[in-house]
Amino acid sequence: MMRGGCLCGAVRFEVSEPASDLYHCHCSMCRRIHGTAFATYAIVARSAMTLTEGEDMLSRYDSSPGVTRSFCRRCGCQIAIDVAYQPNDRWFMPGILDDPVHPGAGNRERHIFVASKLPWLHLDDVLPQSEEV
Amino acid sequence: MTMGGCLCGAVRYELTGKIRDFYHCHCSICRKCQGAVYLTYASVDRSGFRLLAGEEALSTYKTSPALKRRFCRHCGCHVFGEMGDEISLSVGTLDDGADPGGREGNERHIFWESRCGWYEPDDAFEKMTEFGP
Repeated sequence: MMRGGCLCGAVRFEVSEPASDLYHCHCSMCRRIHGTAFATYAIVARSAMTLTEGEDMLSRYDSSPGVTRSFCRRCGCQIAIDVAYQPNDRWFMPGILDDPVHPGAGNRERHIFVASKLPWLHLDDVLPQSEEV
Repeated sequence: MTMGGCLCGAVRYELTGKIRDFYHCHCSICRKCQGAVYLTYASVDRSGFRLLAGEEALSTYKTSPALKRRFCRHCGCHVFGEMGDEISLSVGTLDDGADPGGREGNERHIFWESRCGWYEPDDAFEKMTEFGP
């Protein structure tokens, strides 16, 4: 069981199975909403991720039609993304797992939307890169 | 003029001053506040930063008595931190992936020992145990 949550502790979750995909996304929307050089997402079955605390503390924002991002309204931590056309999946942020545990899908780890990456960011030469997903 | 803001557009700023520090932070506080494997910040004197819109949209979360993290209550984007006279911009919030400058001689990884443990940037920048100079 993987466990994680936001910084203030209001939102807590458990993930019962390893991720099926692992993305480092360089698109401008993901970079901006996290404020980062890129954003990292692990994909799991929606049924495998359980919110154990803080449902009432989640705010939701649709960054595009059918893409709903949830974050803690107290500390602002991004928690997960639900995509309407992937009704069985949930994208979560493996950077907020409690322990430095690998989320799984190491063999599927890759950089996506690299055409939008920050021009000054040096990427590793190890992981696959794709122009889109 | 270098400008930036949150994803939903409620918070907008302009950067008029010179970046005086630039670093990638791997500490668990930053990771758990913004939902990422590491964070990248560019800092500027308060006089070189101007909020153009969205003061009323900004929530504040204090992670230490001196550090106020400011995020958009609508989309959750952590736009900047305030510590005394210093503003730490989340670089992912700059428009068009702008390079804010200040990387030369400053760019480094800080709180490296707290990194997520399974993703490591593959670059030659110094890896520091704490904040560094």
